[in-house]
Amino acid sequence: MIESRLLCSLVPEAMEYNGGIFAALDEDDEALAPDFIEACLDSGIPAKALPVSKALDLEPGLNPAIRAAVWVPDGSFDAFRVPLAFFAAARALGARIHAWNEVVGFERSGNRVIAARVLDRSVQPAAERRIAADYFVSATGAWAGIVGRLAGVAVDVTPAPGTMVALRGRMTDRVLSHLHPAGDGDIVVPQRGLIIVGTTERVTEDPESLLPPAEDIAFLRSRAAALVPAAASAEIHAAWCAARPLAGRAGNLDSGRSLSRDFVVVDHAERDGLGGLCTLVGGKATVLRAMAEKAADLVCRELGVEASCRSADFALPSWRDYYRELPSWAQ
Amino acid sequence: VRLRIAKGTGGEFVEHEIEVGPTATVLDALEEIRGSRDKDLLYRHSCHHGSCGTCGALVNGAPRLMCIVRLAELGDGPILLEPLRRMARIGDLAVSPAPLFSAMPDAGYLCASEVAHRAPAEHPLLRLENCIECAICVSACPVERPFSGPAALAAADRDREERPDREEAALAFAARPEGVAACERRFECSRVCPQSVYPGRHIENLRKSLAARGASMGATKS
Repeated sequence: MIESRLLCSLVPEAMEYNGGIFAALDEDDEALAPDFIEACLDSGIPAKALPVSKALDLEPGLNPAIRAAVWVPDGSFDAFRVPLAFFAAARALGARIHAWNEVVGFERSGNRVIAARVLDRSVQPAAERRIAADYFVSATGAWAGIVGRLAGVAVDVTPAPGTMVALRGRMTDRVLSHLHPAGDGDIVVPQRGLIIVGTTERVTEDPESLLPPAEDIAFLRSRAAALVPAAASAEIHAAWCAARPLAGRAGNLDSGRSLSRDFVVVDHAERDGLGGLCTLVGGKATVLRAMAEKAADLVCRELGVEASCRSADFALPSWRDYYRELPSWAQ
Repeated sequence: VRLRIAKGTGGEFVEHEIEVGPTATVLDALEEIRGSRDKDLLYRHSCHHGSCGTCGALVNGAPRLMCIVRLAELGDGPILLEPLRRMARIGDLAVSPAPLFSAMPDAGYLCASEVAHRAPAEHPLLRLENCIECAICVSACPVERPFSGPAALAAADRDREERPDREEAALAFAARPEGVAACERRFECSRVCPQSVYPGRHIENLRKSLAARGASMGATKS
């Protein structure tokens, strides 16, 4: 939650931080409320019981049959513009960002990675070139295993696709969740004129070109409708599927949920005897800044730089700045 | 379904015929083609639900977001896919939106929304602007002379609506020769906007305010 709050101050223009409501739909779930609130408070999350009448007053679209409600700090954010704001800041500080360049291999000198070979698709025809660097961080999400193999190291990451469904109509201003043990289809998130219903989870080997299964779409709509009845008849705006990068290897195709959403920075010098490379594994969008901080700390240690990370200290420039500059090839 | 897709940066096209499900979108079809047949196919995409604004392209000649256009609505003929007009082409369907963003005013993005009245004044509800800055309106605009474009002018109008202290800056932006005076009132922008922002209406708002300002100044001079 600390990172979520931090993002509100770093990238306020990409956040809808309006709070959230966990709602219980039956007696079993209602009985969970006291333990849920206590667990939140123990974790530093200021949850509080919300009278059902108050919850319905705040969110008239909620199912009037809910039996208990808990308010939590929560929100949604534009998952594309938040990283763009970080990219814009990095470039303002001197970084060069090679969009449309796919890593196709690494060069070694002894037991150290010294360069990446990339296929530059920003030129026609695409051309392979070499980018040398003192250190490489692989922050490649669900593709971390594939990129690791290019460097000759094994990276334990499990691509875990989940389906999301966007329904037309902003049926809530707050994030709504089932007060229920964590499972599939337990959250409804408002964004602009939509609600987005998430999610399911399975695991796969290949994170590319994923399409949403029809049964997932029907399931998610029904779970959303239990919280917000209007979702039952709302028009489907879009449905899609994308892979989370879970740290570790799932033992079978149904065991993705047993893997943690935590992140780790794998130092390949320490683990594999290959210097000049680390891999960020796991994590999720809300902790992207913290993930970068841990990786940057490792790079600083490697390069002998004594400085603390300052990425929590500055409001970022507008995400628009990332695109405002015409790339050199287009001028 | 058959797709005819612009390739490279010249006038070449490539055709693919693929099997897709009944609810598949144009973007789903591209994902299928890239995954199984042409891993070098270039196009932009991220959110897959019409939020990030990256997957604009000309679909059968009309600028649209490929992630929310279902193939079933496009009929039987080959579906023609080309890059958005007025953007800087990278290759195939991929463009850089730099021309759109370099025309944008220095305006904020997040605004307290029209639902703000439902919350206590000390904690207004927040809602992201409806405009996703996808360049669909810019691509559809028929104006050929130097023009800031519908997205930039709509942003300026929204900015002054939400922040009255920025009225002067917004009107100065709109009053430049490439501002509202360049708009030919064809309203293609409003017809194609996937978010129902109606940029044409915002341009008219600015035009009226500038006219009132001019009339007021004229009255003062006389």
